[in-house]
Amino acid sequence: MSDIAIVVILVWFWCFDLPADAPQRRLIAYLQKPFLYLGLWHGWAMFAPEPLHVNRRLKAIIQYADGSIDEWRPIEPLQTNWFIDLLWFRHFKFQFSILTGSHKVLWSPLCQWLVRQAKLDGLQVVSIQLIREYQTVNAPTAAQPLKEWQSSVMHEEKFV
Amino acid sequence: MHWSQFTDAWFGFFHAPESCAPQVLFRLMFGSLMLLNAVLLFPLVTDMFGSHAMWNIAAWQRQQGRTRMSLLHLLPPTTGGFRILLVIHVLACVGFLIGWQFRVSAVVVFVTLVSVHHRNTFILSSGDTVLRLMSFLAMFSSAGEAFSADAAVAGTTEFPAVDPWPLRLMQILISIIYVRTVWWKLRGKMWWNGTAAWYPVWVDTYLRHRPPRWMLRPFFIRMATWGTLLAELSLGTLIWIHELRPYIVLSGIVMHLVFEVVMNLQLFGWIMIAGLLLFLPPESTSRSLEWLAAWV
Repeated sequence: MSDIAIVVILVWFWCFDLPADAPQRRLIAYLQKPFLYLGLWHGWAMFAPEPLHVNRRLKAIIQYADGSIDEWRPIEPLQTNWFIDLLWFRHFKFQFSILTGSHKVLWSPLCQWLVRQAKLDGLQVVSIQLIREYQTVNAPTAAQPLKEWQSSVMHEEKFV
Repeated sequence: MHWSQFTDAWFGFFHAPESCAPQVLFRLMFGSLMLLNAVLLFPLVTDMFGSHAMWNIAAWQRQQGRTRMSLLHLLPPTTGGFRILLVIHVLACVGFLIGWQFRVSAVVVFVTLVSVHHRNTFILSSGDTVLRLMSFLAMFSSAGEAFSADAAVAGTTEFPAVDPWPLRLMQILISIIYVRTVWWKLRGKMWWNGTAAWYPVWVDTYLRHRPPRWMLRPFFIRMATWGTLLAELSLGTLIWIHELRPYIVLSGIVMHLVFEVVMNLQLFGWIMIAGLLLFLPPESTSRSLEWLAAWV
């Protein structure tokens, strides 16, 4: 019995991380429901195929009913305190997920969270803009390691 | 190769009894990391997991439904419900670490960890994936057979020989991680042209300490890029050659410690070091643990 389990687990470990169009990956597609249910999904494309080469930051522009405008930023790495950066690592990861663009499902709940935070301070939000700021890292041969920061609006939500 | 030769090799590799010492050492380091990981989640409960979190419970339920295992489906959908889950997880991690009711503790660790991970997948990294897969395999292991509360109750002071198949799967998983990460990297041109190591030191998300500028010259960047590929490939392949194993494990530990200095990868490096300890010879591992027991 344990040998069958060994073979099934080995096949899963070896095949699941392959690209979606690989034959071995298509083969295990029939098996994947229980494995995904159990949380045995995985991917080892760490800093691959290319390492991340863009700095990304999130900013929210919040407009209140009284006409005032506020700016909110999530917790960002300090790079001066090992423990604090370890503690808030998941905040950085969450910000990263919001900014990649492939998780648009996060944008509206984040706006709702900002509205709630404002409400706790007795403020009524009229609109929120989520802004992506980004800065490309130049190739090692360039005169400067980093390009200028740029920004773009990625989501806007109104609350009437 | 005859079928009987294959089955002999298979049984020899997966089932020939072997001292449980490497699994015990792994339990101590991995259990400590699991506990630290759990404690680090407490300050995040309200913002990341609570009913009104940035990724709130209603949005999570809409997105995931019941397609993923989570004890949270059985608990009140509130911040308090998540805190209960986390407390159970911490207690199970303590049980896992000290080897008290090890099998039960390991099952609870896995189920609660997966429940936490499924609640908010957007904050997870590769270290979390390794934790999840290793805690799955740990449920079947004999890591609680010695140097544990269970062993103390049973009056066992030796490291019994056990069926090592869960240990072998853990070792193979560690090996696959290194081989597959190299495979993915070789699909990118920055790893081929030797510039890949340049970029992470300028990206704020991961940076801890930027090396001095003289170390960022093209020669050193190329050495770091190709050296990483070579080290990872060795860790995935040459680690299976017994004569080379101590040197390969040592090179892996050094590589992860260097990454720790330069980058903030949360607990990934330490978790991989715990995984590399599974490759240490059982005899020297049991001697080290006995020395540790005498010292404690």
